Amino acid sequence: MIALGVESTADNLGIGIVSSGKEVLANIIDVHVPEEGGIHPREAARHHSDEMGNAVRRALDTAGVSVDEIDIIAFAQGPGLGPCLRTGATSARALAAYMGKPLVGVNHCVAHVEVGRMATGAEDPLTLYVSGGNTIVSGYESGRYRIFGETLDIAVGNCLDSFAREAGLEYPGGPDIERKAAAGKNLIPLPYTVKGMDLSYSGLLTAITTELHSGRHTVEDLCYSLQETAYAMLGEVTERALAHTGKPELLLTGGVAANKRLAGIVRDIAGEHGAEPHVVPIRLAADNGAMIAWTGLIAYQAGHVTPLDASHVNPSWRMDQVEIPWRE
Amino acid sequence: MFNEGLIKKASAEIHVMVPEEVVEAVIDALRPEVESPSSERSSTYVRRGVDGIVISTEASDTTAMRAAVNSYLRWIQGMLNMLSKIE
Repeated sequence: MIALGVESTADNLGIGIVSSGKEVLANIIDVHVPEEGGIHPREAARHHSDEMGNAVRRALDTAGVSVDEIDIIAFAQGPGLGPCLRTGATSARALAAYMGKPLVGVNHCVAHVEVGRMATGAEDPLTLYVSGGNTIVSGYESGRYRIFGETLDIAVGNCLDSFAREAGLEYPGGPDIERKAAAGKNLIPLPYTVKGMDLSYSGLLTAITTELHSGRHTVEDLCYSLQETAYAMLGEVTERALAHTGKPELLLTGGVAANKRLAGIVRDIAGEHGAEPHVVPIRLAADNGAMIAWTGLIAYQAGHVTPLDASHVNPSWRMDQVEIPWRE
Repeated sequence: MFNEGLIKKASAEIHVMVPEEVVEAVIDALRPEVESPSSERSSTYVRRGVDGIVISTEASDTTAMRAAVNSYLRWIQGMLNMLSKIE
């Protein structure tokens, strides 16, 4: 069985083609980079609309399959930016309707977890999912992915990107911050905000931006301090959830999973608790169509289909609202 | 004196030429967006026309009208562009 997945929750337009044998046959990612500032939802949606045809064509060519060989069409139904979600949804619906193929709506956050499980072989991990739009610690229990901790405001990736933009670093901010942090020596005191099992990054962003404009620190020290503080917060919540659940594995997934410092922290935590650490491969870490295709495929195999007239997007769709029949 | 604030309502009907073989797929794909518009300031209906699709929009103001029409035209453009490249 072969699935084509459409990812369009934010600035990445992703078209992935995946087989039931866990082969990623194609994973085309076309990123909308704003000329200035952060993501403008309508501008990103216009980009996705303009590039949809090319991305689907490139995915089919890369996979070496014809559209007739595609068995199901999966799409990111939420959460995400409304205009971007609707652009991907309309195209996925049109393709499914035109080809007479089943349509499967996929929760974007669940897809990050499932592609991590697929790529690493993790079976029942506690998952730290970190990206520009989400920061969630979750684990499977009784038919759903339960959320043990999450951000109360902005995502950790958003915090990094916003600081990078303010400091004139590359976009996305993570890689450049990581390179500069490696040369940092002095840890600047910054707000460390963990409330129960939840986190807050907006105060940290305000504080690091204030320190940047004070002119008292090198950009290397700023990057080092931002990373250490942001990731220590993640580490605390993740470790507590791992101790509480006793899960045998710890999975790091999402775009920020590409950060080696964070991956090191996750490995240390897993080691302390006798859990096996897993980190999603970089090629599947950022928002991508392969993760949507894969999750749509296993959902379809578990009997799930999304009728066209029930395929409305849901920009606020939480992952703990999704039933996960393929794990039962 | 003309007062721009008096423009309280706007309506538009746009005919989009669409190849016959994809008309139903495009209308089916748009139906969920018709049913759940992103803004309460406009409502849109989509139906089959003589040479394609007819988009009928009513909005409480011209800004909402422009946003709704732009969205539908952009979605149709994306769908047609994609469907033309899959064979």
